[in-house]
Amino acid sequence: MLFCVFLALMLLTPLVFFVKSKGKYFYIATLIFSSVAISGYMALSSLLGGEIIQQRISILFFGNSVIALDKLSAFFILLVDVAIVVAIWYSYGYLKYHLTNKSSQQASLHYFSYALLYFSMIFALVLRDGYSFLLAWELMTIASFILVILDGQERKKLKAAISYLVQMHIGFFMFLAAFMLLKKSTGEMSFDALGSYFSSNPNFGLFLLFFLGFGMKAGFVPLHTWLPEVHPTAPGNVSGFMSGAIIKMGLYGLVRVISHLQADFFTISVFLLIVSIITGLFGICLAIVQKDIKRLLAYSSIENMGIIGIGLSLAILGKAYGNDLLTVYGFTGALLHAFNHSVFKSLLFFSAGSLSKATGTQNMELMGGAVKRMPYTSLFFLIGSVAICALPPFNGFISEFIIYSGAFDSLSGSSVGAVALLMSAIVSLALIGGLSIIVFSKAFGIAFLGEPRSRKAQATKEVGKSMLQPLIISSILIVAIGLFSMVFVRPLGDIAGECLKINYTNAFYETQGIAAVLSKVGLVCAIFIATVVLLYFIRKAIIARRTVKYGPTWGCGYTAPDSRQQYTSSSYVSDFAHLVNPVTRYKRDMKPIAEDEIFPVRRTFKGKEHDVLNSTLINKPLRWMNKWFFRLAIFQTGKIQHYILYALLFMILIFALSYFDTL
Amino acid sequence: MLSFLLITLCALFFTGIVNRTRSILSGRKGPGILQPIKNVILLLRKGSIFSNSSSFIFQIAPIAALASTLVAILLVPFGKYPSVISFKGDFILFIYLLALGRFAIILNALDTASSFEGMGASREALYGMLIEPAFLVLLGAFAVMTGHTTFFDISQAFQSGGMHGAILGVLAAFILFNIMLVETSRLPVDDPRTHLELTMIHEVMVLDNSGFDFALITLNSFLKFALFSALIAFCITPPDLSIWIHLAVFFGVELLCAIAVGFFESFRARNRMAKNPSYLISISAIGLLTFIAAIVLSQYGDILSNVAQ
Repeated sequence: MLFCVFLALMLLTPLVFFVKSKGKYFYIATLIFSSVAISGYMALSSLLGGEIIQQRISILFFGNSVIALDKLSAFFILLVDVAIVVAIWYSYGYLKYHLTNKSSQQASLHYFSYALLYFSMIFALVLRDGYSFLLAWELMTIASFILVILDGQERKKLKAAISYLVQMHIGFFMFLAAFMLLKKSTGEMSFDALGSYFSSNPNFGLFLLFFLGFGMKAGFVPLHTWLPEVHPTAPGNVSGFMSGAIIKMGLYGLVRVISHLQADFFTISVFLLIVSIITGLFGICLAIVQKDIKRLLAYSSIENMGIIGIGLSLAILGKAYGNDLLTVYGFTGALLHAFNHSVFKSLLFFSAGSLSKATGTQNMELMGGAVKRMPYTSLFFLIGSVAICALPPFNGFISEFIIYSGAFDSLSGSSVGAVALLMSAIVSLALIGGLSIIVFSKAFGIAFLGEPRSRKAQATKEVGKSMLQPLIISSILIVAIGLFSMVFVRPLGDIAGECLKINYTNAFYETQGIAAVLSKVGLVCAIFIATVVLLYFIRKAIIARRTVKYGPTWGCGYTAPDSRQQYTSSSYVSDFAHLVNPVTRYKRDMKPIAEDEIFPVRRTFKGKEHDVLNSTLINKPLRWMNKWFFRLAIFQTGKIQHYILYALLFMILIFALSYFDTL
Repeated sequence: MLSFLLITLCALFFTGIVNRTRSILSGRKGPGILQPIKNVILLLRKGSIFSNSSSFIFQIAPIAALASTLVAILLVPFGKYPSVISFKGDFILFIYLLALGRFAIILNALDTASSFEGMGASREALYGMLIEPAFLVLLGAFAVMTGHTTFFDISQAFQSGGMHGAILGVLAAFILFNIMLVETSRLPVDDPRTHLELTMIHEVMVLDNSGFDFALITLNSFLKFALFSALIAFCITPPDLSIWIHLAVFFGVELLCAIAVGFFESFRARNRMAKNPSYLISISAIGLLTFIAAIVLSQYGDILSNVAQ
């Protein structure tokens, strides 16, 4: 019944084209919010109640298909629901100004694609049959493509969006190949057939195919190249949702495939661990050298995908060694981190979107001083920054803590090989943690703190309430998961039990003490917050009785400081950029001041970083292909006689081949 | 709770002893041991000057930094007395709390729009990142060696680990001492006595803090000294001692650490800034060696001792 209402809501979305301009937003928002209510209710009842909701539907010419809502689907539906509520709410304020110079059809198309994106994601999460899943997946790609090209008049943005479309379709062909293999071996083309395929065939090959497809969406290195191009291009109300939810769809697919694995656990785990560690470190190293705040956030999404991947690979490693504890910890940590990342990354993207809307640029070197002009937006960005750096007392710490705990707990008693794997996971998590502190102290410190670095940044004003209210939801979730993680982790453990078929009973949850540990972590976090509040009031009381003066910042005796003397995003990370030069290829274009140059003349400075993998894996082969395809152009003569000749030759070839085939 | 009281008590004297050691070694009489804490009290009574560029971050950051260290101390046990709150993986929270304090001070520096403080912040962020793995690898070594993942259980199992425990303890103490020097911004990474802003790290980050806030920041570094020395004591204290000997060992280690810092600072020059990353990475590398030693000892320890006999 609920499902029919859901379908009806979906079918109502195209009518947005006939709604009057002002009503478009409210029409779509009503549809999406009511669908969120329905899908959220169903997902929660599946996640907490434990029943798997199954329904047969037939989609046009794709034949009968099964819709199944198990715990894993339910978790990701909730993730998408939270993200879409924040995104749609934020869109109201953002699009109010952004759509003013767009036509009514453009606005309708944008709203329609947002709704289409949401519905296709929900369907991709519940459809099990190969064909219908691929249909939903494809709709998702196209809808997000249309959302991204809202500002497609700019050539550069259109190019980025098209590269997204192309790369997604390469992923699509990986799925197609994978499903074909599946069909050939089992006669069935659905995720449910994976189990029987994996039990009779080698697991790694098919896993690799699916990994290439889903990893493309999730942004695992080296399949990540679309991410840092598309996220900065997308309008502010979309990039948060893309990073928050769309890349998690890739993760969902990956977990779905992993849940059916039967053998080769060790190989797959080592493979995934290596890829994830590279993803995490590469993503964060490139995030550090970015000047564009949204590009920085995009690279940080890649890094977080790496952390999630590390958790997942530990879970598989646990399966390989029959270590249930490690499996539960790794899996729970990975899923919780996926949810957390979705929450704080959309918070970060949306507050960065507000800032770049206000300053008219995404370049951090032109921002600054926002903390006094846009205090609430800044506060939200700060909360997101602390959370994403995995610092207590917020939620990012909890999920990394769970992954760390799993690795540390399994260290003793494991074989030397396993210990080496666990330790490399721990060390890379530690490095990623330290590096993300550099990234986000830079992002917040340079873009929000200090003095404005440009005239536009000087004139910024706080954004409207409708662009702040949705961020409150994210912030509340961030704090709540930080303090009361034990409540949130329990259902995740059940998902681990369901997916990886381990005996994760309530007793395990209680006796092994995940709940007890997390409640103590929450307690320490609460003590920390209480200490800060207490010290704050003591400080307030004492300072009130002292003389307080305001003056200029200490300039070492220099009394006419200029905002351009501040540290910039490039100078803040220049030491680090030197250290990791092989990865970031940071190049600076400047003329140093010669020793005999007494009165230095005006000079310019240009710093540019390169994504090594992007240039070696995408750009170089593309250039090579261009060159060779160009040579093939001699066949394109423009004369109809030649083309008829080609057709004749082709037919002869087919005849010849079929002749040989019969032999 | 005992450890919390002891560490805060030692924090009051630590910097005084460091300074006193240094002045004696350079042939001066020097100020009394209580002078640093008297300075803090003086600062608490002073008024404040805030930069016009600064915002609420500047008001909260010193508090957050101090609070993070105070809460981190709550997680450290003392001998047979467990810490106030103890749970599996408490040391992970410990490390991240210290990182939170660092994050707060970095933002505090960037909030003032000063290029000097930006420079300090940049260095602090980089060096903090490079030292963090050392700590985690060290704790990984403990976890492999003892099979436990709480500070308290590790100390119980570790201190009765015999010869292997002693070897690992000495290595761990060495690494912890180096981490302490980095975390408290002392030589050879940073020099608190330097007068040139361009060569400072920590001091330059707090140039604009004054009065009450500066007192909190100073207290924070006192506490970090005592905290890390307590961890060193925790690594090398032999098992099964009565509480009084334990106390004596604890105070002895704290005193020794303070004297060692003073000694070290009298005879060593600060690293060149460009050399610091390799210095910090080498500490992590020693940490990794410790870890490998721990694996070897825990897996093949019995064979090794048989061969030795």
